[in-house]
Amino acid sequence: MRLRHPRATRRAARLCAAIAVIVVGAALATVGGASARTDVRSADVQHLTWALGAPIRGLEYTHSADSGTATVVSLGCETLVKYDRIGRLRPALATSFTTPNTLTRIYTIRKNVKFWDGTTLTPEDVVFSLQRAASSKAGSQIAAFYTAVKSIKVQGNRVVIRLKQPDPYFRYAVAVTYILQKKYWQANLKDIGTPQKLTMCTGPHRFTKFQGDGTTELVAFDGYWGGRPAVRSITLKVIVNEATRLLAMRQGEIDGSFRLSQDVIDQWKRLPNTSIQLAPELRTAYLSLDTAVEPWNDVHVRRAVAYSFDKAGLVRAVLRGYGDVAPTMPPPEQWGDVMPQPQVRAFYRTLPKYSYNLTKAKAELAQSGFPDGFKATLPYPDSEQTLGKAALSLSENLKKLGIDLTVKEVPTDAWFATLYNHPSPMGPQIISWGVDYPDPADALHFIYDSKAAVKNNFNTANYKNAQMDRLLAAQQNSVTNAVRANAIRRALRLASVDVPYIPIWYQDIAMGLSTKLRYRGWGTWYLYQPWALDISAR
Amino acid sequence: MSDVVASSPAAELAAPRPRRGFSPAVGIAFVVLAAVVVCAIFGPWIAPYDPNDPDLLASLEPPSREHPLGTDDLGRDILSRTIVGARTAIVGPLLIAFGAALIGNVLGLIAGYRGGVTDSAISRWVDFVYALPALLVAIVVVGVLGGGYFLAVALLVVLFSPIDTRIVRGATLDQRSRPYVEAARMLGLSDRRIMTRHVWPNVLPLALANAFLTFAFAIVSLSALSFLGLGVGPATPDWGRMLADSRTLLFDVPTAALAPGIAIVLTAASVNVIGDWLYERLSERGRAR
Amino acid sequence: MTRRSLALYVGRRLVALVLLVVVISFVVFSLLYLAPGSPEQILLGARPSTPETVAAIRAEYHLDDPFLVQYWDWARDALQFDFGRSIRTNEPVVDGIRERFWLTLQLGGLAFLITMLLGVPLGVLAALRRRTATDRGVVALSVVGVSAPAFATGILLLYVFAVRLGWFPVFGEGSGVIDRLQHLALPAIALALTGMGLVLKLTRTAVIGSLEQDYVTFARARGIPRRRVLGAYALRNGLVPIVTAAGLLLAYMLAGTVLVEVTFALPGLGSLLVESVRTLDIPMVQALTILIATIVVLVNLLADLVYVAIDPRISFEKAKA
Repeated sequence: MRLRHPRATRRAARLCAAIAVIVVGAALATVGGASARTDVRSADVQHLTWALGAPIRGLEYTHSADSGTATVVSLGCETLVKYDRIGRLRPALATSFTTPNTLTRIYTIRKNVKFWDGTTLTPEDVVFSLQRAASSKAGSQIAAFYTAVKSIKVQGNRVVIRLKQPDPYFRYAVAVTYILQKKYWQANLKDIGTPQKLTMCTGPHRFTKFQGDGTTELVAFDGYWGGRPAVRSITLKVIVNEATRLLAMRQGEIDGSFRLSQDVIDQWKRLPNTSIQLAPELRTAYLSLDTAVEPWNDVHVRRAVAYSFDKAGLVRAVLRGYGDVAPTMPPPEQWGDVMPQPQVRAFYRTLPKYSYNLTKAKAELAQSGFPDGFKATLPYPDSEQTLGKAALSLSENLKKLGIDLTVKEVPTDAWFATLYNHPSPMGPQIISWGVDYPDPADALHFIYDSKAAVKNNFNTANYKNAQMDRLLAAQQNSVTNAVRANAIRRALRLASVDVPYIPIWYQDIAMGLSTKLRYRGWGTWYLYQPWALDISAR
Repeated sequence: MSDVVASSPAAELAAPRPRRGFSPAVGIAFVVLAAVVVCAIFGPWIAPYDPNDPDLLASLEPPSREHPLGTDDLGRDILSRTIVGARTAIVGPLLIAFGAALIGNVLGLIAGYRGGVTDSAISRWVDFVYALPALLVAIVVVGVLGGGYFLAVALLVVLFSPIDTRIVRGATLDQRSRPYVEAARMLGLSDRRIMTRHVWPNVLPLALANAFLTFAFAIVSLSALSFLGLGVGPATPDWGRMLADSRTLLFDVPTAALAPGIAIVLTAASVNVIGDWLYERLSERGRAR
Repeated sequence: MTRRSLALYVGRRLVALVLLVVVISFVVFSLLYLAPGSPEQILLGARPSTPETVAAIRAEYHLDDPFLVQYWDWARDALQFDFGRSIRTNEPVVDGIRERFWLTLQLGGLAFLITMLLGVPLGVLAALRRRTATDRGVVALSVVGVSAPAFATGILLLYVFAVRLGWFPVFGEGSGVIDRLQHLALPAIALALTGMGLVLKLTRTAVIGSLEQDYVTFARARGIPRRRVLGAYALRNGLVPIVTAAGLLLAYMLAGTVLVEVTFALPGLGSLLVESVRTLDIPMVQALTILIATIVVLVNLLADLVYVAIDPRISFEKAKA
């Protein structure tokens, strides 16, 4: 699971720049001077200028594993498998993948894939990249995805991965592990992914310049196995300030951007040269209540707070309607192929709703050990102002119950440190969590599993329920969808009754695009694939 | 012998000055300041709505009869928040301006007058505070001492004092070499007496000019710290905070940014105008003696 | 001051610079150590991690060594001008700073010019027209620049000049001389506005003070033309506060540069420092602090030397009893 990291959001005095204005002029000039290129095609985009909302740390994902980095790295580097629009896995550098038994996965590597320097992709490159990703010793930030792996070996033109125990999520680890050229990586172990060394991959665009807080440039790689890219060159610019990004789009200085902040989406919609697309971000905001201490160990108190949350109002006011009330933790689209969407939504409708109702809240509180209220403090990180607003709204509602909830703002990194260090008591927390892969058990392990109520893990509610643990183990040890779906449903229902966490909302993600361009098939999982391939001129 | 102060009847070089009453600009400044003070003291009673009460159904409403300045994204009345926000725009910044001026004047006088090692020591201190990354200091202060309003005030007093120190030191150096100082020294007056009663009054106009500027700068600096947990909490209405929060509301509900922004600017400008005027009146009266 | 004592003075200041660098590097290192969180938590971001990963990262950056050992490791390398690699981005610290240094220098330089070229004349104007509406108005306007935060003035400038009038680009730093100037114009103005109040008010106060001096009255009485009196006497004798203000512009700029960089999407040193502090990127923060400390000392030294150049009576030596 992945909490919202400040690097992936735009708040905070935060940085960076980029070049780009000459873009339009240069683009026109290049098109005009087409004598050098005899194969200018009508759907070509000579130059794509894209705005990033936050700076990124480096081009090597295992040392910089956040959504911003993925968005940039994916333009040039590829994975064995990739997500389609709704999160199913499709072939990428692997032409096929099979599971002869629950402990083995075999990937057949595509032939005649070229790296940017002209050499051919071999299974050795794949194995090396996967091993780097799996290695805690190498400091890989996604090593936790690979804990079940026993061995990764070459077998002819295939890569065979053996697991120690069944792991229904392992297949997704491979979707976010980028394959680099082994030779290049070994030669530049210390500084791969830096502005000086860049990277060496197989993707449709090659990095020519990288500046994490400024301008990054790529050019088309015509030797790409998937064919000549329509976008001939790309410039990425970091523009953190939302208003500046909006004005840049208005003036045509950029062609588009992802992850517009909720409060500017309507203004982007009003721009005449821009179109907006929306997709579920698969991000849930939730309140965590420390069940290990008073008064949060009393389920009536927790339910009283749940009834005091005007979730629908918050979605309307704070998210401007670009989101949904969350009845439970996993967003419905996260169920992937574990259970079909209609069934998921039907199931969600059966869960206890805790709609905003102060009368019910008071009734619950009266049944608790604290009928006259109590005092508590709720901190939130300064990079997540929407969480702060939700907290303030809740605090004002709780006043009517006699509960004095002081909302405190803390510097984001101090706040993260608290979550990591898992102090005792943890107290209430308000958190925004982004999904890692399309499986509803993603978060469940990390926030409901009693083993996760320790340092460096995120069971911040200190929820320890034997039945929950059994259900989680049951779904983990099976690879049959029906069995897993059943266990997960029961787990989520238990969670709704116990309410150690109060899910608040699901967020949508928005992309703004110049009306001169077309972007086919944009969806939640855009960031893990060479998304520039889906862009063409109108 | 009577005190020797370097001054003379005001030169008439400048263009004609209005002599009676005060100019309209000063009048406006008084009105603004009076309004702000009234809001600061009586804010919660004057405000038509509870500034903190969110009304999610009334989010982002444009100005109307019920809400003359509209509502912000949590549905809180902007006019009420602006009125109550006056409180944090006055007390804290005033304390900061005063505190930084106090430290700055004392250190600057001593450094400029004494020279030598004392000057070196104080100037090194100035360089040190100047070069410290303020953000880091703020984060550590919050981490170690917790947050809070007066902690923020204290921190800014320390961080702003080098500016006052440099100004006063420069002016003191300038004065130190003048004949009247030499004369006073020859008369056997003590250092302290010369510094406070002879040099400082000539340095004072510069120190004051800067002190009012510090006030202006402090209003927004305090709110910048609030994001770190220092300064006002997220619930308290505060102009600087409102301005920062409304950055993206600019095109939806412009008053959310305009109200606090204009309030800050008017207050700061008024304080400076009144300050200048007040000083001129006081020094005139003194000189006429 | 004699030439010799001046040379000694400069020498002493440079020695003091070295001492300051040592002290401030230690203090900042301690602050980074005391700050909540630690680099590996920030590096791991929002992911649950295995104890092995945490241990590996901590080992790589020697985060488990005792505090003094860590400091000494850093200092020893720094003495050989090896400032290490950024924990956050892995690139050599020196390269990271160098890329952004020129941009920040250009932005600051341009802003400085604008502030001085506007602030001083306007300050003189206010002094000459003191107490009139012009005076009050000019002062009030300059205070607007100080009190309005740079992100607000920045967006306002963008909206008016870049969007409505289309005279300037919205963001970025441009390349090539003319393009760079076009891109830096608005940010430089926004940054200049924050320091304008200081220069203007101090100039005004200084000139008013000069105008009241006896020698001005005598000069006028002798029939020396007004303009000459203003230039040669009033302004010249009021220069010390103006120079002080010029030197202090650095302080206002250091504070304002981050907001301007963020608003105009400029990859400068201000944002680099903020991001490095937030991520506890020790090598980068240390190197940037040393750079800033050096600049601060040199600017203050320069201002002091200019004092002496303006008024040879000024001396930094110990006051004779």
